[in-house]
Amino acid sequence: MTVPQALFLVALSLVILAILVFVGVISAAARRTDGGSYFTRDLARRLAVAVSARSELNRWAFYAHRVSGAAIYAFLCLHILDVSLYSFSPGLYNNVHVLYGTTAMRVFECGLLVAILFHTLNGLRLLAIDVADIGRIIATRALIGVTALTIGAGIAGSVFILAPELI
Amino acid sequence: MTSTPRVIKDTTRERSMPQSVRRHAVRYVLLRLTGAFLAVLVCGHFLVVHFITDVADTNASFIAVRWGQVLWVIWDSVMLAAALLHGVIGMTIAVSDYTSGRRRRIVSAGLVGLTVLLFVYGAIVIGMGATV
Repeated sequence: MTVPQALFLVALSLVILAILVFVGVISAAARRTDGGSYFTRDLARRLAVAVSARSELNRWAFYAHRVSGAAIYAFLCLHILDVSLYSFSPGLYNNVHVLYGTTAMRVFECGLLVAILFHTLNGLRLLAIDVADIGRIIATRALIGVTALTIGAGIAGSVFILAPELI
Repeated sequence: MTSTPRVIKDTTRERSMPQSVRRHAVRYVLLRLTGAFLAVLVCGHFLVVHFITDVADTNASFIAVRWGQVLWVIWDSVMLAAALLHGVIGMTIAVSDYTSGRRRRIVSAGLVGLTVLLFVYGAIVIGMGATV
């Protein structure tokens, strides 16, 4: 492993650490303001009610939107730095870029895909809520659609990204 | 003491929005506007570098070819600006929910500073790399 590659991995670790810290901050604040949102039996029971009555799903969407947004921003900072190596020398860029094709980085990219999918689709839903005033029930249905699309496209895309490693 | 509500309403309507309200309104619109752009730009970018091209093949020669085309130079420039603007607005809003007072100002200023640096740096990188 070369020095630039090691530096990239250190920076990537910092990005992941920053994401975890942000998740911790959000969880602590959620615990404080919402009075408990852990996966308990009580929560499971509340989630079992009719879809139209599940307004608390919107709160979970809010947390997921924040976490995915912060994760993408953290990666964006690193990504600008690693692409900028191209300006110094194409060889230096290639040297670090090789890491993007490794199995571990491909798994990270699958996570990034899921984050981008959810943040984009949910963001478009929020835009629809603001612009078209679609109302609570349709907004909740849209959230179910956003989640289903994120999981479906996320799994399909992940299989595609990991395919060179799987075959 | 009892001025009619109608008079109060008229004066507030004529007065311009307070600075902080206007700032929030601008921020609100910019966040959604850049978000709409990024829905296309980022998803398109991910599609190209992960699905149309395998990520292992997006090496220096791939960049050299792409930054020789006007479409991708404009795409990457707009994406850089929109992503950083969207990111810094979103992060500042999120941070302001969990901090207050001096700490809020320091963290927000740090985020803005980092983002401006990254934008200038990224713009220079694209400017140097573009061969159109």
